[in-house]
Amino acid sequence: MTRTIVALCLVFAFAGCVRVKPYQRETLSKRELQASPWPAVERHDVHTHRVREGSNGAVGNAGGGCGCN
Amino acid sequence: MQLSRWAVCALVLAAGTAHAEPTDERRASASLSVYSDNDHITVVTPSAGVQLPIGESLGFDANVVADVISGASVDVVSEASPTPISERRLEVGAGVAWQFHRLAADRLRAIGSTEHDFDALRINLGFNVELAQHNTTLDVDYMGGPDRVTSVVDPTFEQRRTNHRLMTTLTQVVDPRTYVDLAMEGQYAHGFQGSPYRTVPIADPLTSMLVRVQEATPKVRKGAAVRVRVRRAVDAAARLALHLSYRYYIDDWSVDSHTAALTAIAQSSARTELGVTLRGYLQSAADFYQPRYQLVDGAVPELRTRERRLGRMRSVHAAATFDIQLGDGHDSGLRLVLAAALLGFWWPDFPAQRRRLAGSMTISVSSPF
Repeated sequence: MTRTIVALCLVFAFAGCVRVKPYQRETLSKRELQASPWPAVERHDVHTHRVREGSNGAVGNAGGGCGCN
Repeated sequence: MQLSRWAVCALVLAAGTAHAEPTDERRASASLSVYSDNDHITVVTPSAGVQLPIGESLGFDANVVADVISGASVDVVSEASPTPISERRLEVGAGVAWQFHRLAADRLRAIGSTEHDFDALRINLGFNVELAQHNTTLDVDYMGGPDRVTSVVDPTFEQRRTNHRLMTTLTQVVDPRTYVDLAMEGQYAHGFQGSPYRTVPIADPLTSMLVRVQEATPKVRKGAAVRVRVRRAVDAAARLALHLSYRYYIDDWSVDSHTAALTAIAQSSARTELGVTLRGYLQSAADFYQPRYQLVDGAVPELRTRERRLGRMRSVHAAATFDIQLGDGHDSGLRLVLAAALLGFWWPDFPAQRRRLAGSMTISVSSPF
């Protein structure tokens, strides 16, 4: 796991050398490439996953309730 | 309490999606989501929000979300209540974002949620800064706050928990058509992490008799996650864009998980888009989770749970999203989004229910005003 994180950081370090000019950013600015193109849909999907999966860990595993949802 | 998962997860998500930068347009949005599964659970979630610029460098946003749950889950009927449930939750959030430098912004947001046996408060602080001539963005986000757990069955019951989460996201422009995101997250929770309603059957190996005792889990849980995501336009016009992500999670309860997701977004016309998402999830069990517990030397195990989410599980999710631009302008007019999804969940070590199938739908409208 540690090696994976280090490797990813190295990838980003080298990627930091990339220089995309402002006039080359038309495609990058499109909504389809944004982190959350459909926020309401993503909010509901993530919500649905988090209440049923155990990997949200410290924050997401609240109480537990009756297990009904 | 039945809604507590929805409550906290909604809080987490609301904070996680807080605007990183002040908005430059007045915009209102509303959505309605419906979830239903073959365990007789139905959740209807209406929400509404507004975002406003205040001057040139400040933005304000607020939202309200309600959850209306009805159901008669196997868990509810056999473990908590002999009758079907019907519950409501209300969440209100508000925040400000401040562009304090040409390349940097910060934000502050508060979210409160209440239901009849669970209250939660979250404070979200964050900032982002653009580096390397806008090619690298660093975002740091903290969220924390208390939960208060009560019980409708026992009026004297009251427990608390404190939650903290810190997430750092590095977004790198790799080429004129590609972003790569690296997110690292640490989580810490201290306090009551069980359920006042859930009891665990313990078998006496000598007599085969069952005794039911209250669930007991560790007071502290520490978790960490890393996620890598690539967002790439297949062609320069972004008629087809792909989002590919992988997330690994691990915590000190020995739960670890792998999540992989692929989303393809295609422009079907000048005003419409179609998105397709496939997601898979695989999780190991907590070290104290057992499908069935037994007395050990005549004593009840110190840690025990009937929380299915702490057992082994896997899930799949397939979804389609249709986006229609109704107003003028590609990104700034009235927008209608329709989404439908099919979900499957499997818990091989949960005897009461090993599989659940579900469907969900979201309708969202947003518009400048």
